[in-house]
Amino acid sequence: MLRTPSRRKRKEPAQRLNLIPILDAVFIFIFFLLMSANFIKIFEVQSDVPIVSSTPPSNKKPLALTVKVYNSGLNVYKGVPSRLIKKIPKNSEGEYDFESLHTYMIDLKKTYKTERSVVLEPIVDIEYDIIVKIMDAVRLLRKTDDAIYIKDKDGMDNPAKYLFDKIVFGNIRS
Amino acid sequence: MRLNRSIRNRGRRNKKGPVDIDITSLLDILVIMLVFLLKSYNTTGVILNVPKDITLPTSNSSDVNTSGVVVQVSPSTIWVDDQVILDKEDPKGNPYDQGKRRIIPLYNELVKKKRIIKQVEKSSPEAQKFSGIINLIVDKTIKYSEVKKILYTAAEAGYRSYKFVVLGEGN
Repeated sequence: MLRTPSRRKRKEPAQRLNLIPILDAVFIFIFFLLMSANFIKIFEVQSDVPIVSSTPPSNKKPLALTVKVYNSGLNVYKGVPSRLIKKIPKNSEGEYDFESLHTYMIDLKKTYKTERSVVLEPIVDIEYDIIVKIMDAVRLLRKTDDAIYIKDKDGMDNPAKYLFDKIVFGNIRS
Repeated sequence: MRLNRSIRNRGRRNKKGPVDIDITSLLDILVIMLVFLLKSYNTTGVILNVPKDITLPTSNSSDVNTSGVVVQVSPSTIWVDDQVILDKEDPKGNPYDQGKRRIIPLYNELVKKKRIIKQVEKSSPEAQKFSGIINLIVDKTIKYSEVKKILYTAAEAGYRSYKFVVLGEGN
């Protein structure tokens, strides 16, 4: 009687490492790390230094849009010499009404589609945070705003991305 | 037992099949991590250090940052590229001139930075040219009168473009 070959008798299935507990721990660890991580998104708002141009002015009447910040509210001027076209008083909570300013800027942009410059002149000593909010109100066209179409060189209508994005501080030398 | 130890089985007894590791859950974790990291990835390559004294204002802007000289302004200190140039609580002498419009240490440092960039620009044709860009990391509580001095000083030093660094909305 033949004996069963020992090799065949001892054949065992390959052992699998049980990684489930350690992977569970790693998953929980990563989840906590991701939850506590602070993914800060930093962007920029551009402004240019006011310069005296040597080029002769064009025949076209400039808009010369200016926003002056007073204690009582925001005043919008246009033209040369500047003429007050809109007064935006502070709201009932005593804060500057950025929404009204933004809405008025949209109306202006609809009329002056190719214009991109605005002069910002804070007359009172406001905080930097308020300056940024005013800059946002005058320069950005939000997704929820009415679309404004501007004709390009080829005569195609393209949606405007900005209102008046070329901001210049008018009184830094004063 | 005796069989295992036998000379005949020497060399065979430790031979096992390859270990099969189940990496499905590991791959799940890696995918989740990849999604989060890609979402937060900044492609501009500009590194801006915000000192702990500075709280940035929030903005709806989505314009990505550009490289340039970095000026950090907190209520008590002014830095240029992370180097303290004016401690307002302990100023050495009068730091202002031109009718308190110009900050002298800031002006000197900005001119120095500009000169270094222009020297590098001359020495190597592949070097980054002087862009005239100044990245302003300013605390949101700083008053306009102070911001105005910094803008004026930067303009005097030959920097033509201000980039106000802000936090994206929702941060």
